[in-house]
Amino acid sequence: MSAYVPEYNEAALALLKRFGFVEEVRRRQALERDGRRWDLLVFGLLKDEWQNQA
Amino acid sequence: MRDLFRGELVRLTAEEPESRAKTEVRWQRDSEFHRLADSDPAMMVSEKKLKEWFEKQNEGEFQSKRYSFSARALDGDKPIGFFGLWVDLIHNEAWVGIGIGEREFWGKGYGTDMMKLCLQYAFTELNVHRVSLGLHEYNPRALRSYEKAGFRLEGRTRKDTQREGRYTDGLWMGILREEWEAMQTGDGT
Repeated sequence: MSAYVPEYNEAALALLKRFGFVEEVRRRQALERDGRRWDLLVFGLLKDEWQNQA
Repeated sequence: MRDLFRGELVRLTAEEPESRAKTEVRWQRDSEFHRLADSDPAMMVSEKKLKEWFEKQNEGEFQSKRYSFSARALDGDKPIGFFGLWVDLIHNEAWVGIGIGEREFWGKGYGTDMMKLCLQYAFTELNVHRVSLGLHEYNPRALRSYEKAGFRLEGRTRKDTQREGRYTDGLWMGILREEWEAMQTGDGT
């Protein structure tokens, strides 16, 4: 599973980490919002990682 | 001003769909070419279909914010490859697709020369803030070429592609305008 999150969305980042997602890619300054650039983070969770949590 | 369409080893061209199809139908018969190019199932298409596809592509070029070129080797003028830029106008980013179909031109700096022209076009004509691309981890030749052109590895999506019963990683790279500009000072290489 993959999830894309802007770096400023701290609530989403915390949620994904709680569910075991791993930060795989940091697309530097990929977003433009409110007149500045932000990183876009790509998270991944593999099936065996998910199974091992349960 | 620098020539947008001419590098040290290649020049950019706009080929007619007919001649493009004639050349590239051979590349489509090379299964390794497919596997290095993308994650789609390798498909063989007839020359006629390929020509129609290029014709359609030409018609939609400007609506889809897609900017594509063919490349010929300066020595011998043989068509060897292509690249395309897809622009995201909202976030001011371009994605690159690039390839060399002629195997004898692999690993000799032609791709890097094409990429330099590609980045020059992206930053000076399209005026984007960053350029992005993805590749397979089993394509180290491409990785080295992109690093030489100035891209930085930004991460890997683990096990995102299945090949011959095994999962492989996808690699993601990016270059920012300021990084590209810093490379342009001095001798222009």
